Amino acid sequence: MRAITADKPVPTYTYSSLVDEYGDSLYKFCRRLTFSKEDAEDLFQESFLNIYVNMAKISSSANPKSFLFSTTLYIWKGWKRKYARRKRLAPIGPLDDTIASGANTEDSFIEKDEVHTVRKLVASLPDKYRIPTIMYYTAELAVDEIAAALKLPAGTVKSRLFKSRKLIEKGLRAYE
Amino acid sequence: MNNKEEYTDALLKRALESSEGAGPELIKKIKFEDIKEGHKLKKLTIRRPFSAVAAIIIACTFIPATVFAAWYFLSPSQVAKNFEYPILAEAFESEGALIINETQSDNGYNISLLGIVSGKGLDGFAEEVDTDKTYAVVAIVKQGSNMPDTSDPDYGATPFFVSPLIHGQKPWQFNIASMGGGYSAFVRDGVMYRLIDCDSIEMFADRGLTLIVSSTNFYSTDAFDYNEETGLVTPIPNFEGVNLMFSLPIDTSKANYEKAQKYLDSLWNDNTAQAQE
Repeated sequence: MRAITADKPVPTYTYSSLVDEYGDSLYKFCRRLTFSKEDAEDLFQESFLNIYVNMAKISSSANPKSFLFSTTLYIWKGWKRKYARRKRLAPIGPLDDTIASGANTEDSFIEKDEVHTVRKLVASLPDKYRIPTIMYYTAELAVDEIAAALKLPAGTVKSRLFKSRKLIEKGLRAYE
Repeated sequence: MNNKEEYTDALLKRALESSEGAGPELIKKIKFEDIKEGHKLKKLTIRRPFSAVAAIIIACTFIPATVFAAWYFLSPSQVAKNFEYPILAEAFESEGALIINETQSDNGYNISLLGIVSGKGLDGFAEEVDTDKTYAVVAIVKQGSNMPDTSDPDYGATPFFVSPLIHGQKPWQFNIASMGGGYSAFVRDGVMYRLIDCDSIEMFADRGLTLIVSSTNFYSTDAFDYNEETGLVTPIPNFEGVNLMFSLPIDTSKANYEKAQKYLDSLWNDNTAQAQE
């Protein structure tokens, strides 16, 4: 067993460099996970505050990115109920709706409609599929990074992404 | 990927990709302002509702702590019902559940470990559950006051970290956060009930298990000391906050040393190696 100890050599990253390197992708993840800007910002700040407090422990991890995302997921799991309650009380704000497309207005409308449907379908997926899907498509994490953050074998992540795509395809057929 | 899969993949990319980054103001805030503020705990308004005061007097004078806990708090089964987990509620009433009802006090809080149970599919999320999970219910009472409700702005102002630990395993590596864990909480009559879950810890029963509770966001080396020679975790006496430990008397016949070792190896080494590839 390879030991990972707290007194490993000093890493080459700092809190500030973690913010710079992963801030954007983590924010996107928080945004998609929560659907509201206010909740996303809270989750984002809470995550980085924990990262700051735990920098010494992160120093002993070879993979700060997975630590960051698993930290965020842990916090979010605790917030889910509170968030669900708030979501029932107030309508959720949409994420950026910009669709880069050179197509004409009608095509753009159809595409936008399809994109909205896909977002709805993703939002309705069980967390087991939704979270790796958001990590992959929104936060742009590689399969091995998702595996590390979720403490799952890479093969399991791949199969969940595959199943997620199948569920989306099935959902789209139902909307047709 | 075939054409259809490629189309779905591209559609998912378009639907889920985002150009909306954190923004300079938010980055500035987390880089410079939040960390200056650190983890200063907000002061809560102290109220002294009769029920809490009376309950504490009763607890201190008339009846044993375990009986008091069983009488005063919701049972683990009722807590699970409140979360709409009927199967888990049933499991907490089964013979396999450990009803503990042990209360400890520290720095103005009474923390009660009410019960623990392990099993597969107990929270009803069949698709979510691939492995056995362990669930524990803890009640948190602020002495002389109510815990803020989940809708209260002060909710979460004092964080609590509740996690099982395995003797001999570095607690900053092996805790609820790394063991696929999470928690749900609600406040009833001024008492916060927290239901935690993580991958089943029964396989570690022969190594010795504890449940720690601290007023921190995560496992904190300020709150607990880990002796690498003995493998034991102990609360640091001068920690300014809650740092308590409960023994988890899980039946050692449920231990599985090889399975446990495989799990530990997979938890950090395999994933770290994967991520480094």
